[in-house]
Amino acid sequence: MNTFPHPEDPEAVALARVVAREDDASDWDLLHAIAARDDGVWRRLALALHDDARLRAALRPVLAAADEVALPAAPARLPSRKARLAAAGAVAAAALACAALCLLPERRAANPTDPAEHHELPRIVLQARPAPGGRGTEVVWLRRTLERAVVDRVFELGTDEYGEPRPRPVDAARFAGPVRF
Amino acid sequence: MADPTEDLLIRRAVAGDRDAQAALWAWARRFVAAVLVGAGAHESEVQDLVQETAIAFTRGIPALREPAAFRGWLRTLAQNSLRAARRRAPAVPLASEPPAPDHDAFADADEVQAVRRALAELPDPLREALVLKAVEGLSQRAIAAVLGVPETTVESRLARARRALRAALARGRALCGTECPNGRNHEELR
Repeated sequence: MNTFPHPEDPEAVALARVVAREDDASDWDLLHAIAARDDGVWRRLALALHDDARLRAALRPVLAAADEVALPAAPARLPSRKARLAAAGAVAAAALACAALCLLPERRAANPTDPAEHHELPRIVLQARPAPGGRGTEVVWLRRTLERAVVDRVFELGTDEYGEPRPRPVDAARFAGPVRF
Repeated sequence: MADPTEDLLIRRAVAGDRDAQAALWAWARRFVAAVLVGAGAHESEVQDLVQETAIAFTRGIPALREPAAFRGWLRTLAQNSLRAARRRAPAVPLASEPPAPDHDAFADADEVQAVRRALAELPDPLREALVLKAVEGLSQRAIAAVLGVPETTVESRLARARRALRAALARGRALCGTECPNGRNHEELR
């Protein structure tokens, strides 16, 4: 209901409400009252409706362009900066704890949550069976993530003569094909 | 956002459900485009800006705490994308732009350009309210929530926007005289 006190022209408000399909009886009462002394109000209503149709038609291509924009490939959940820092710490600790081959970005730290650098591949369901207890289904799946980073040099993590973990440079050609690390 | 379905969708998206995020974005991208147009973005840059907003959406959605604030938050993302683009390159003057190339008939293209020029003449607050209403079909209450203003302000802006659009379109007709698109040059100012 048009109950707001407006400094605006009451006719303009009523016309806008009709065009917006938010009109009620009070708007039409007002328009009929105006028409009793100025029937040009119906022409102005027609123009307002026409303007609205023209506006929507003019903007339709813009909306169609927006419809083509999908979300970028990204992990299921992007952690907060705090969580990313915590995760980075955990990754660093894991890297030091193992003597496996590691890739250590030297020029910059690749952001593992960057949509351009981090893609989650379709999950593989390994098993689905009735859940223990008879309620629901137990599903076991494999989550796969493809990551990419640009680095200046490639290192592997080994140990020095004291058994301490130490990175040492390796030839990148060693990784020309799929390599497990 | 009062709709419980939308509310649930937002909550699932915030929780990291990728499908919910995609569905939410599919619903929200037209709103983003409307905000951008309302803020003065030109058609030629809207798609890129929507794309940048999509990236910001993906990064930021896990941190959204209040589903009711979703539209306002998304509006801020879109406006930030536009501001960043403006810092990189100033807006292209509307008058120097060619007609939309993907229209079949020149008359239609002229009509589209005439309406967009008229829309560009509106002050930002009026244009934004008008586009959100006309394109997105939001209720006045929803627009008020998005803009953070009282509902009466939205109603007032919409009335002024429609009146201003009418005047701008009529001025356009007056300027083009008998050469107006589709021969419709008989409109008059109130």
